[in-house]
Amino acid sequence: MANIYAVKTTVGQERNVAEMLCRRVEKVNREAEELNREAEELNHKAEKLKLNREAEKFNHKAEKLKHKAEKEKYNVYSALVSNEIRGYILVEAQDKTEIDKSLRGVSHSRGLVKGKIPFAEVEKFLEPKSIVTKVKQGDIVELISGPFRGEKARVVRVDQKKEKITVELFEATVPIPVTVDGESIRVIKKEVSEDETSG
Amino acid sequence: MAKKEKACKHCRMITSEDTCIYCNVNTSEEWFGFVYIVNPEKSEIAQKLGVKINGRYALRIR
Ligand SMILES: [Zn+2]
Repeated sequence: MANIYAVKTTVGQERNVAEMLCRRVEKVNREAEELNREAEELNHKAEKLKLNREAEKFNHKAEKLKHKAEKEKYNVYSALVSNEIRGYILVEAQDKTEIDKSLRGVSHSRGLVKGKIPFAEVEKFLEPKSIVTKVKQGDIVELISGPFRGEKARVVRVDQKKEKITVELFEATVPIPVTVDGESIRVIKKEVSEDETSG
Repeated sequence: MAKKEKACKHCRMITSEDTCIYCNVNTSEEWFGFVYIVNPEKSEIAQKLGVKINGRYALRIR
């Protein structure tokens, strides 16, 4: 059974932390694999020996190597980065200890968050929907890419099929509608009551 | 400069190739979400996604 935990990261470094963590796990596990292979060779040698005493020695050494491999390897299974969770990644492992072990020395990781995340919660991130599905006319958004990056705007139209959003920029003297890609925005405020939106 | 990262429209694997080496399907530059699968046998996420090879995958491809 796998357990999933959130790991805090520096904002903007989520992907790097996930990559570094997993590459580290792969490297350590490859080394453990190597020990297991050595152990198997020793077992094989022991099998061919007629002398029980010698064989026992090889088998004993093999046992020790296998034990070492088991102790050294990291039982971490995956790391997930979602655009919907800034400053965190999700790490799947045998248990918490395994994540703690493998996180040591990974830069921009800020430690494990207590509390297991139920798989049902994680499933939501596995089938990410376009941001467009969550945007409504009247929402206030920030453009996060393209020529208007950093500007705030109000949504005037949403095209679900083409995943496009038409907005009016706040900074523009004349509010000209601009159509942008659905992935180039971040919702900063959902549509609120009339008196707050007008004026 | 690093080659642009793309994702296979079929298996979701991230690659710099225009065609996925596993599926022979076109890859896309427009992908979102990221998961690094280290142990496909033990990972529930991998099972849910139908991933059988360890590696880096996109969660949504356009
Ligand atoms: Zn593929």
